[in-house]
Amino acid sequence: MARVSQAELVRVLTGIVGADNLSTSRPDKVAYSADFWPRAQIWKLAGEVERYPPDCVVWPKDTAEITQILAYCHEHLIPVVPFGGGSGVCGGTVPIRGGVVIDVKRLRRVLAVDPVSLTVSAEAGINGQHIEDHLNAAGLTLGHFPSSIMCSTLGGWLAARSAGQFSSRYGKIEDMVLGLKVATPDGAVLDTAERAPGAPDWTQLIVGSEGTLGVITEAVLKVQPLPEARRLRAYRFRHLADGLKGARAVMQAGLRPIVLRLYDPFDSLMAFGKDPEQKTSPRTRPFDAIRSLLSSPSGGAHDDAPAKKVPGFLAKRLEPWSKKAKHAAITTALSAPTLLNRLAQAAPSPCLMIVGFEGPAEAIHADAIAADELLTACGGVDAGARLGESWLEHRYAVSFKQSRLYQLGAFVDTMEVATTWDRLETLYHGVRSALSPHVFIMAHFSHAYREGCSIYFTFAGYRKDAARLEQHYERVWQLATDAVVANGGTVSHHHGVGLSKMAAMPREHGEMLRVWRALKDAIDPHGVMNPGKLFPDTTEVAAGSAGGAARSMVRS
Amino acid sequence: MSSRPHAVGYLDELRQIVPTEQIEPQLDGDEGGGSWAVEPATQVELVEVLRWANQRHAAVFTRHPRRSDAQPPFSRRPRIYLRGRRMKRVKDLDVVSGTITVQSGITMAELDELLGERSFTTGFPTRPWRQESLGAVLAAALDAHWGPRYGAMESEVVSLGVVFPDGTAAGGRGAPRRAVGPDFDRLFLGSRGRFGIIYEATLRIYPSAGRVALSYAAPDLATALATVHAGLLAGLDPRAVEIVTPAPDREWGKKRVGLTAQNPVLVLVEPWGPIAGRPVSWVDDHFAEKLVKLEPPVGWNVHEGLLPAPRAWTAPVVALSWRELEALAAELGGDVPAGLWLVRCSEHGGWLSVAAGIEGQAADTVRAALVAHSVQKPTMWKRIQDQLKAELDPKDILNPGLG
Repeated sequence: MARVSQAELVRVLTGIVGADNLSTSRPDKVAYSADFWPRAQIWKLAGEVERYPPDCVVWPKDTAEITQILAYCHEHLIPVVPFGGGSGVCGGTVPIRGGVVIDVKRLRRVLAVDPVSLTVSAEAGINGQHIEDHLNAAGLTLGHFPSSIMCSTLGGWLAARSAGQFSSRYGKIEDMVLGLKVATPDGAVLDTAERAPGAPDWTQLIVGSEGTLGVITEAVLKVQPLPEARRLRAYRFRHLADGLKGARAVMQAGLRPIVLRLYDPFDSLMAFGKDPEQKTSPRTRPFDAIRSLLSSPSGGAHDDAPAKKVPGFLAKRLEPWSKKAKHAAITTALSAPTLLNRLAQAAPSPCLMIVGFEGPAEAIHADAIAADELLTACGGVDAGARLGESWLEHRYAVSFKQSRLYQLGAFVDTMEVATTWDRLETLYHGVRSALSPHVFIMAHFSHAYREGCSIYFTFAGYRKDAARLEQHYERVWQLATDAVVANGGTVSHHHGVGLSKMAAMPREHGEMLRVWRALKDAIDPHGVMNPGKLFPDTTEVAAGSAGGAARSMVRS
Repeated sequence: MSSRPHAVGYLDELRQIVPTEQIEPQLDGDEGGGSWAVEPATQVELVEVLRWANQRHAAVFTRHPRRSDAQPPFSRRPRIYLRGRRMKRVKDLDVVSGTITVQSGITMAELDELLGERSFTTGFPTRPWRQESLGAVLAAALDAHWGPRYGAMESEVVSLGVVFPDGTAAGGRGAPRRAVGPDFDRLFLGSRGRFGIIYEATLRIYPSAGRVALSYAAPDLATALATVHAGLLAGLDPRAVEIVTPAPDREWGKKRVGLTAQNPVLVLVEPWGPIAGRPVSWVDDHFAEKLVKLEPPVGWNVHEGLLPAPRAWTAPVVALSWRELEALAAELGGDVPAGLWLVRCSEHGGWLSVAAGIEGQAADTVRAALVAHSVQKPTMWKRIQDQLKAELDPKDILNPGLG
């Protein structure tokens, strides 16, 4: 196969999408060389603003243009990276082998809304908030509210099995999707709704494939009527175990809260810090410095915790300090994570739970009373409605910038794992004890289901220079995923795999990865679709297989 | 037993893997490669049997033997009929998480009894499937009515353990939801043992409903549909809703349930119950206002007194949206087709079919709607399905001939 020159590639793709919808400019290459993966921020700290630039970026207007691009790249073994909002935090859209980035944001139409059967059909590039606004105007809601909703797309949600903050009631995106259209590298468009009797559920074999099988172009999803009322309350538990028991009791009683989040002691301390009734409590003062570490005014887009603004009293206290002193305090604290974690663990803080219901007013009133009985029986103390409402109000109050910790030469990242209720506490303690000597760590439990729950860990680490910071970051992730697997959890509940968790996939799936290799060889035999992501390349696992053959075949 | 030397050799080899009492000779032709029903008792035995079959290019079936199996193209291959009835160990009953992990050879009746003793259920109506194994139900009955009443069968499976045709075992760990790539378990659910043998499954379990709390009779399909749809939109959140019209020869069943000529459509509702916070009376008030309440309430196995056995359900079971269901009801008018069964109703629609052998214009109208909304012709996925088969089972040993 002759290599394609950059000029030839640009000429052909320009013929498909038009000159205005193709770019080889450096700013675009920089912009599309990474997503919100913290490791890519560490590269930037080291001075590499574009470690993996694509050869070009295209903005096709419809499925027909996408199929033409895919067919050309398939024929010439040119890597293709589908791109939605770029809000991923696992490096899923980093074009590590160059090639063509297909940004689908021009495919943004809502194709049909059926208010009788409660379904919506939309193109994959539509922004999350835009589809929700469209549905709201028709008296409907998708019920999918990831914290990245304003900077992520429908296609991205489906590609990475996204979860919204109301997943306990409405499910994850894979529970909402009824069918997909996916453009495959051979230029075909497959409709997963065309499921013949005795055939597998193709929808669930495409959802979560992170652009490695094709480009999702359209989807049909379930929607819900806009709720008549919504009610949120907070509860305090003396012990984490009691809170978990309460959460399980609520879910297994058949109640369907929109949200049920339980914060561990330190995460609760941060939340209580914003409570006027609690902020004057002297017992929180020794932890102000710790709280300030992660209460950056510019938390990352991946952070689905409430907005963490520096509280006024804290800002006042820190005001006189020089930037250098603050820097030193934070980096010194992060350099001794064991001590910091012990301090946080010893925080005399209860665990805070936010629980909420929405639907017909009478029904949610009854649900809230039932939940109250169950939570109180497990040791919960009603902390009123304000904290819950505050959480709801600030749930999107993230700036979509990376944390200020990066400016100090540190990193902050999150890991969302899940397991069944019987293993949940063991998993929590297992990950904490594995990471505590290396990073500062806290967590909350959210996305609760009948049979289990997700744990959302946030951790921050520091090293003096960027090279060692990257090594440290890699080591921390290795330890974290090892601990998750050893304690019977899944390493990702809703962020996906991308590059960051790929190494854990052979242990997560074991021999089931054979299904993946068969799928990949059947749909993308040249391995052009988002190569090097999700699962280790078939070329690395089984030498000689066609999959993963694509490298950047573009000559500059 | 065949006296042909190669068949005897194969039998000796099989005896090295499983005890003789777990091998039962089956009818075979003169030129046959040997034919046996084999009952592995453990996962290890299953793995070894499949490894042997792969080496010997045997044909491995998960169904009963047929006369035609002794004819080409399988006649010269050794044939194994896998029986799972010795693999029925419960590996884990996790009442904390509400799951059960069980080997696939357990019959649905055994599973139901086991869970029933502990006041749990999988939600499967068990009587029609008494003799069927869990593995068979998961592998073959995906699109049937007799699946779990609380959701599609796939959604009730937390994880699967599978043996590939070359004898490699693979099993996922249970998690409530995952975002670690595609859901590979879905390849084996409903694909009838073409890609691998399900040896164990982790299923969701629920507190037993005991008896259906509520049952109602409607004068026609449109009224039944409208009442159910309105109830779902009002947020009643029942655990399960079904609509049934009895088959013509089920007079005794109709009388027992309380259906009449004026109100021939049965609506079954299982509310979550008071523990979920909402009084049962809310559900009852809604349905009783528009339909005739039936007393006493009927159990979920009422279907057997009203509908033909599972084998009579040869028409496709099709997911129809409320818009499509309402259009069908409008077309039928007051004409109520017998043998109609709508299951797993949600805010978005339900799964509909009609029993075979029901005559009349109304039944024909329903059948036409089912055909119109079902995928009949091979789709573009057929090529991918065939390629998957070729990759995972290159010697075509597992259930050959299924396509």
